[in-house]
Amino acid sequence: MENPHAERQAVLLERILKNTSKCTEMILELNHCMEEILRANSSVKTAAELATKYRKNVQYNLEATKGNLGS
Amino acid sequence: MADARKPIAPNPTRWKPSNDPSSINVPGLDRDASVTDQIEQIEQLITIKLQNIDENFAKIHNVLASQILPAVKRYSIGTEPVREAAKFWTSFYERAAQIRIPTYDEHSTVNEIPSDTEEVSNEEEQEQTVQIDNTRDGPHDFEPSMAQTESSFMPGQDAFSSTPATTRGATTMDSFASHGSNEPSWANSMESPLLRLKSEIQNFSTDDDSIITATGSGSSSILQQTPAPDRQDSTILPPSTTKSTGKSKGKEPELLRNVLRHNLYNQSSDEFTMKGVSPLKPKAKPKTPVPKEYNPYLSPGTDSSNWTGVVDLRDPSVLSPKKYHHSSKASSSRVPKTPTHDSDDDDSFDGLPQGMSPPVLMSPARPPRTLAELGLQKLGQSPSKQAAARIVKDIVRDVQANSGYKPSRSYYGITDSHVESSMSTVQTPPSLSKYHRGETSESLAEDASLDSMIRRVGLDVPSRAGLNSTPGLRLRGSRQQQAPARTYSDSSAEDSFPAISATDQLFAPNYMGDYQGNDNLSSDSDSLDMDDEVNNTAHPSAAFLMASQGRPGADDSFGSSNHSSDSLDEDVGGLAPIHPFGGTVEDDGFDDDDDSYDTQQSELQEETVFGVPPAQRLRQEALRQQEGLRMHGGDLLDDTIGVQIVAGDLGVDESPTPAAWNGGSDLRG
Repeated sequence: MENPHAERQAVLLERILKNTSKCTEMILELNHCMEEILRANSSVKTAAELATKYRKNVQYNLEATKGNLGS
Repeated sequence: MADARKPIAPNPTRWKPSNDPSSINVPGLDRDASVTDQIEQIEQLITIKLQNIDENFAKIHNVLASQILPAVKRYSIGTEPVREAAKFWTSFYERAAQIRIPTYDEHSTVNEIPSDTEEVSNEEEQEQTVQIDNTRDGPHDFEPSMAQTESSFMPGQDAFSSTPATTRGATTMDSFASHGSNEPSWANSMESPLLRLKSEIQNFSTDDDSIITATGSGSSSILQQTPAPDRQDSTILPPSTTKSTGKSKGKEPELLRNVLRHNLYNQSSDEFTMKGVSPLKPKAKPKTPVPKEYNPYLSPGTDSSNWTGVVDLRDPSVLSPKKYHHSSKASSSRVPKTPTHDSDDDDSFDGLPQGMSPPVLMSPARPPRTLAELGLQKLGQSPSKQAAARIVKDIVRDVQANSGYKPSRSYYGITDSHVESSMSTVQTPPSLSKYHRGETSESLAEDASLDSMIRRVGLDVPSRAGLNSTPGLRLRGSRQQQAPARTYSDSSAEDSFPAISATDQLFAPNYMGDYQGNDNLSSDSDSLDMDDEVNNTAHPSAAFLMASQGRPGADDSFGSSNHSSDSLDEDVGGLAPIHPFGGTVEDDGFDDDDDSYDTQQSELQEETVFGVPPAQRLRQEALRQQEGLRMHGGDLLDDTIGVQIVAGDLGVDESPTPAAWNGGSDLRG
């Protein structure tokens, strides 16, 4: 009696399974892309930090030398 | 954040299993129906729910595939220039501070202390006290190197203080993208070399002060001052641990490698140059320069300083970088003393020779060169030819200044009687129609023009079957002693091909006032675009004349091709205006006066080969008509113009008489 339901539900479950696996693959791919981007951005981050530090150091040193000159 | 999407309905409360059937509440169920019916309803509810689930998953997949992944990929592509710039700037700063900042891809550690930083160490100390707040480590001494300060930006250490223990655990666990311990910790790579070394040493615990001193004498004292103990573990796993299984195993070779690398960089630091480095020229992260003796393209014995930098890759004897790479790699097992091995490790462009950035392929934005063009260019490399080219250019300029485009109009717009001579005065630049025309005629013309060029140069031209004109041509040569190697305009046609310089060269000899060869030009120069500014034949300068006189008129009988249409003839006693076609038409030893007739005959001959009779005819008539300026490059023009007329293709935008062209074509049919 429940066969028709079972069949229909089995079919639906199959489809769900297929869609889920596809989604999983896509999400894995997404993760890879994000990782690559993150990896690439790390160099950007490094450069930014370098620039910031450099600027800070330069500013500090300038002020220091200015102080020396003044004094 | 403002969300324009429709809100997601919260999930219905989870169904809790219950032993009491009466307490179960199924939303869609009709409790009044019979059990069977209720069962049916429940089944249907299940089916519907499954359908919804399936639909949701399909939707997820769709969105992912159609929007999210492409957007992410577009983002990555879009930020590519940013990354390139970042690479450049990091290398810039590295070179400035003479340190090496490991990127994620690299497994090397920074191991050199910038010498200049030692000088400012005192000042930086004070400065860094300000930054102490940013570092997770409390008020401890700073490190002189700039790279060290970046450690404060490490993911686990950003701008907040946490207990060293937790951060240590975090950093050790914190591998980039949560990889295993095999992968180098991205955060760890940000550590300064000093800190790392110190931690390694301290992890070794015992002695090894000697190593500290070896790595950085100036920094040794500072090292001991640095509060690194908190960061030890993070440095325990430098990227190179991928090569070792355990921590302890990794430390010793790491230390060794670090020391050696440090020594290496100390030696090679002088080779840093900023030449050619610019943020606008992004390229791979520049590696440390490689000592000259590692040039893979040099044969072993040659002096590297003599290397011009030009490598003929066609030469199979040149060592390919791969070969060198392998040969050097064979010795990589030893303790790395050379930068090759290090660069191999570091270099993300494995397989390239050391010090070489990845090759940048550039497509030249030029039309492909024809064989004739190449040949012409090769031919036109002698200084004499260059001088001739210059002379021709001067002449052309003069002609263009003096004569307008009127003659050309008359040439095309009037009856044939006017035509011929005006060809010479046509100053339209050579059209590019020749490029579009069928190749066959061009190839023929090219060959002819090449020959004519050669003749002009005075070289012996291989006789070409079918191109030889009547013997009269050869006889003419004696007549035209003024016209030295007049070559033969065929080539003049071709001259305009590749470059004006080439054409100039071809025309140069023609200025000697040989009125012959117009036919050649006309016939041969199918491809010639005399329309261009190369109206060389107009007024040969005295210098040109002098130069051209040096060459005896080598008449090459080339049938049509050889007549230098320049018709620089006796008229060109000095700078007198030269009728380019005055008498040029005759190919076969006809007198200049007989241009018209001769051209006809010669044209016939030429027609067979080059097939542009109408232009020649027109030219002859123009010559007859005109007493004044003639364009000597008419031969060149002939083909192009003639062809254009015949073909009805007036692709020469520069032609001053586009309308006339049309009219002319109608006349001539």
